[in-house]
Order: sequence, then C-alpha cells, then structure tokens
Amino acid sequence: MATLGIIFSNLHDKSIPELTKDRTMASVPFGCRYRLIDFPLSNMANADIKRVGIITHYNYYSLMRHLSNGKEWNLARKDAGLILLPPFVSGFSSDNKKLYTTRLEAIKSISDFIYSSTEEYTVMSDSDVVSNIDVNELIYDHKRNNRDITLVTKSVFVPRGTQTSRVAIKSTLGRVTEIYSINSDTHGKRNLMINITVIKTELLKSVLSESISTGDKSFTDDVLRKNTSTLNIGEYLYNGPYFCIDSLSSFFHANMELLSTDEQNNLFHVESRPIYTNVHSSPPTRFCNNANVKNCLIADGCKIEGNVRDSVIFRGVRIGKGCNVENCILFENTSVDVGCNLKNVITDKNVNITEGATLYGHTNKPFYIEKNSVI
Amino acid sequence: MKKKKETVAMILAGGQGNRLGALTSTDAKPSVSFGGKYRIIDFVLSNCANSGIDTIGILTQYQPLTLNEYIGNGQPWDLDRSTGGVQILPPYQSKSTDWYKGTANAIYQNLNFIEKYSPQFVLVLSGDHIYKMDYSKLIEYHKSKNASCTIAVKEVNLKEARRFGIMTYDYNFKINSFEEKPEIPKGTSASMGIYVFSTDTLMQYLKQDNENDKSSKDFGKDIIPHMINNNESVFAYTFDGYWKDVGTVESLWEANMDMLGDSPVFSTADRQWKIRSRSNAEPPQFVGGDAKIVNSNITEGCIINGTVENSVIAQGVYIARGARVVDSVIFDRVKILEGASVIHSIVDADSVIGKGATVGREDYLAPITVINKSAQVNDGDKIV
Repeated sequence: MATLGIIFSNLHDKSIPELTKDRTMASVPFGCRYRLIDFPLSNMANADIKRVGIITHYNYYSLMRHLSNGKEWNLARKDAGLILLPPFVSGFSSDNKKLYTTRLEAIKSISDFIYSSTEEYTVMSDSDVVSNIDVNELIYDHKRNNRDITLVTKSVFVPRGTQTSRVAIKSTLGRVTEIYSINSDTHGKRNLMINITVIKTELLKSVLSESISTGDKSFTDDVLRKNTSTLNIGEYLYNGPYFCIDSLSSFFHANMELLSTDEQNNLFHVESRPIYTNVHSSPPTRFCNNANVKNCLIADGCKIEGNVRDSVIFRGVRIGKGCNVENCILFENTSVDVGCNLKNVITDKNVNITEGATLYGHTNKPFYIEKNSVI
Repeated sequence: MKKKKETVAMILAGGQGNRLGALTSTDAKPSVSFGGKYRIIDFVLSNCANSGIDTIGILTQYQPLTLNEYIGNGQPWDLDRSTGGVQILPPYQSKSTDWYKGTANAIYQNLNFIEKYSPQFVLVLSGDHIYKMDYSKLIEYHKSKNASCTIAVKEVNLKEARRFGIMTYDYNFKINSFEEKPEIPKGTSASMGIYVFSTDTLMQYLKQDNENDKSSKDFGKDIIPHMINNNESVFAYTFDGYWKDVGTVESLWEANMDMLGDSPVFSTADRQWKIRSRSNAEPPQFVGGDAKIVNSNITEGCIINGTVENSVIAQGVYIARGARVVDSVIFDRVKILEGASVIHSIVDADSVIGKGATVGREDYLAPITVINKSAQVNDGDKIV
C-alpha cells in the first residue's frame, strides 16, 4: 500500500535559537555525522515510502545542501522521490510577507502537493524528535484497526515544573479520548505525542479543504481535539530510542546519552533500519602518538593529539597536543589548538579555539560558541 | 552528436594478484581494502576525477563481481556522466576477441571503446597503485613535448629496480632505453606504469603488435621498447610524490603503515585532492572508556574497547575489552574478541578472532601473518 511522507523542517526552530540561527531545525547537526532530519527521513525510507515532501520555511540552504537529490536515502527516483517544498507565498494575497506559523497552515501551504497525491496513507513527522521507528509496523497497526488517524506516543516521565509545548494524550483500548497540554503541575508518566502521525490521505485532503474554508489554524485543536468522538483516532505507543530536542540543554544531554552503548545499539544498529545521512569523503580519523581518548563518539576526518573524554566529536575536528576536552560537543571542522581546556562546551561549525584557552560551561547550561567564531 | 573527449583513461585492473595470496582469493587486486576506508582502485579513480578525466574504461577479467559491484555507476567518484563516465570492460567473445592475453592486448581488444570518443590522448593506468597525481599536468607535459608517448617515472633504489621497468633518458627527458624487470638494471628510473599515448600512435602500435605472434602483448615488454627502437618521441615525466605498487602483502602492509604518524608519509586528508570511496551508512565510531588508541587510523562504524597501536582499522570493526591490536591492518567488519591479540598481521574482512587467540608474532623480519576473509580463529588458538 503506497504511503506519502511529509516532514516539517521548521516547526520548532524557536526552541533552540542558538542552533537554528542560520539553519532549520531539520538541519541541526546531531550525533557526530547526522542532522536531525536524517532520523525521520531514514524512518520513512526504511519503510519503503517512495515519495517524501519536506516543508521548508526559511534558512533552508543548509538543508538543501544536506539532502541534495535524496540519493543517500534511496529517494532519487524518476517518479516521486524526495521533494523539497519551498515556502508558498501567494503573489495575490495582501499579506504575502506572512508565512505559515502552525502545522495546519504549513499543510495548507502545500495543498497542491497533497491534492495530487494518490497514496492511500500519509505519514507526517516533525524534525525535533530523534527516533528509530518501524513505520511499516505503524502503518500496519493503523490499517488493522481501521483508524482515521494514528498518533504516535512515547511514555515519558514528566517531572513537576516542566516547561514544554508537548501535548499528551489519554486513550482507552487504543482509542484517543483526550488530548491535553502539559503544564507545570504535571507530575508522573505521561504518553507524549512525538508528532509522528498517520492519516488516510483522503481524510487529510478533506481536512485541508475544510480548514481552507473555515480558516482553522491548529492541527491539534481544530482537527484532533474537535474530532476525538467523530473520528477513529488511535494511539500507537512507541518503545524505541527517543530524544526530544526542545532546548540547548536537551540537545546537549541527548548527544551525551549517545555515549551509552545501549542507546547506540537501539538507534544505529537496528538490522533492517540503518540511519542514512549525507556521506562526505573524509579520511579515517587519525589518533596521533599522544592521543588519549576515552568514552567518545567520533566521526571521520578528525586528527586527535590530546586528551578527550565523554565527548561527541563531529567530522574534521582537530584537537591539538596537551588539550583536555571533556563533556563537549564539537561540530564539524572545529579546531582546538595546543593546550586548551574545554568542559561542557558546544562549538558550532568551523570554530577555532586558539592556543591555551580555557572554557567551562555547566552540564545544565553548556557553553555554546557560535559558528565560525575564533576564541 | 559526436561524443568527443580529449582524454580517455584505461585502467588495467585485470591482475590476479597472486602475490597477495589469500587477500585476492575472492577479490581482484584493485578491490582489496586499503587505508581503513578505501579500496586500492579508489586512488586511480579519484585521481582521474580530480584531474578532470571523466571517461574511463576499467579492464578486468579476474573475479570481477566485487569490483563490478563496487564501481557501480561510478557515482561515489562523481563519474556517473551522461556521456563517458566509468565503464567496466570485461573480455568478450567475437571473431577477433578472447581472454586478455597481456596489458596491450587488453587495450587492443577495446579499441572500439576508445574510438567511440575520438580522444586525442589515451591515458593507460594501473588499478593497483597508491598515489595522488594530477594527470592534467602529465597531459600538458605530453602536449608541450609534442610526444607520441609519455611515461611517468619515479626514482627507486637500486635494490628494488629489478621489480620495475627501468629506463634511461637524455637531458631533454627523451627516453633512449627501456627494459622491463631487468636482471642488471641500467639505472634507477622506474616506470610507474602510467602512460599517455597520442591516440594515432597507440592504435598503430597496438595493431602492429597484434600481428606479431612472438609478442607477449605487454606495454612494458613489447610496445614501449618497440616504440623506442623506432625512435618515436617517448618522454619521461618525473614524479617525486608518494607512489607505491601494492602488489605484495609486505608492500600493502607498508603502504598502510605509511599513513600513520603525527605527520604521515602519505595522507588522504588533502581537501583539494579528495580520495573518494563507496561507503555505507555507518554510525560514528565509539571509543570506550577502557580503550587505548595510539598512532592509529580508525573509521566509522567501529567499536573500540581494547588497545590499538600503530594500526589501520577499517569500517565496522569490533575490538573487545582486553584485546590488543598492534602494527596491523584490519579489514571491514572483523571482530576481535576479549583478550585476543593481533600483531604484525593483515586480517581480511568478516573474520572473527576468538577470545584469547593470538595472531601474528613480534618478529618483524618474519613474513606478515594473513587471516583469510570470513575466517574463524577459535578461542585460544595461536596463528603465525
């Protein structure tokens, strides 16, 4: 049964302004050699979804570079394949400077793409959740229960005082009965929506037509909440690896959790579901004579001469002699010169830390250094 | 429309590579793993792509399956082109063709491939050398000398000279003698097995040579000496960069070791001259809390929990806690289990070295130990 894929690349950009200043949420680097979009896109590719539209908004240059024609995900096809959907601005509209701000508006902005779909089902996914989910099984579950909409959830412990825009659901016998927001009094295990949704494409088309005529704006409020009794909306509880990237601190901790072998196995070493990414031609990483590396994830093309522990090191990073790097995330082409001390630091791409610098952040507030800066 | 190209490159990749022993029992020599992330043929293909040569024929007749699969449509080297690109040219049967009988014969049987692109020059290359060379400079040199053939030359030491084609040339770099693998070398200028021919001359000599029943149909033994005897303008192009023929286990191991060190003799880190390869979607490498890695090259997909010294580790290798890998080259997806030690060895892909097993020995005058592809070394076994 053919399925259409839709990925929202920008919806959550505001949650990590540091990292999304000049890139979309979808192209935020993650786990040494990936960008966040690699996860939803690989999940779809691994379910043999042949047509995937990616809704963009602004700052999508890095995303385009990364995705290219989709060949790494096996989505460079004569028909269908990967389709980048640039922002839609009507030349006739009076407020043509305004782009979408909500999920439903984003869907409206690609109405032509959706109306032309012949696929029976549509899977929609955001870019702020790292997961490795069997989308085939999800679609199978959706079909077997003859649902209109299936919402994927993850059971997560929410401590009191949590600030999040996440939405939780309650369901009986797999059917969603309530959709509610998390507030600061919430405490305990909750089934959070991870914003992966299966919907019958025909239903999506009619939702779209209706919202165009009514001017509805919110998918959660105007489509899901309003229809819990009239539509068969179900829940699919996902048990696999899950990282929600909604702040710089959660980004930092998610990367650090990848240092656990279990997380690596669950996310990267699933037999039939590899995570694909844009492959560069970097040489192997060179560990020099004075290198001392413990408990690190390291991409290719690095040159390591110093001490590095508990860190996530992206492609082409150089760490000089006598450096102590601990609990850090160093993005592509970061260069740490001789004798630097770094702890709880995130460096963006092409950062140069010059000789002898000492930079300490806190585990809960990592020190972030902007792209291309020299310290 | 005429599909004209200035230069067509022909890569001789047919070598059975007997001297590589077990490493070539299922793969042709050019598809043997190298440097952790590469296959030997990546170097010549990347050199072509980086030199702006986009029409390449690969001549192969031995165990072509892995090579065919690896090359595919040439996309990893940016060689998937609408005209030209990279093509595998196996021997085929017709009235006038047969198995390739020698390097010259392999090209002769594929003259129709060359003619299709009407090139001015034909670049003949070997698929089993490790080096970085800008062929466009070589071709410029060939043009400036108005040569009918130009041979790339590297100085070797006298001891090695007997393994190569040795030539002498005059002050103007015109070659006046060429001898393939001489008993008593006249000098130390060795042919690198890289030839540029002006197409007409190449055609003429290949056709003549084909008529000659006594010829062994080899460039080094027949074509080049014949051209020099006929006083054709054959020139030497001197090259002083890194170059290594990895035709033996020892040289393959040495070339891998040449990539180690704080400033290695040979490196693929040059961003202006990338060596490209077909690689899988492997996760980043993980270096565990008890790992110790010194002076080694390690790539994606590896999990290292043991000790690695002076070694080259390819994709997806697992080295368990307490295992030790020293002065060795480990190919793709090898598993080295707890307490095993691998010294002065080459371990071919998909092998498993059992717990506490010992492979190789610390005697560096002894030959390098080679473990076959997909071999299982049992727990506690000793293999030298």
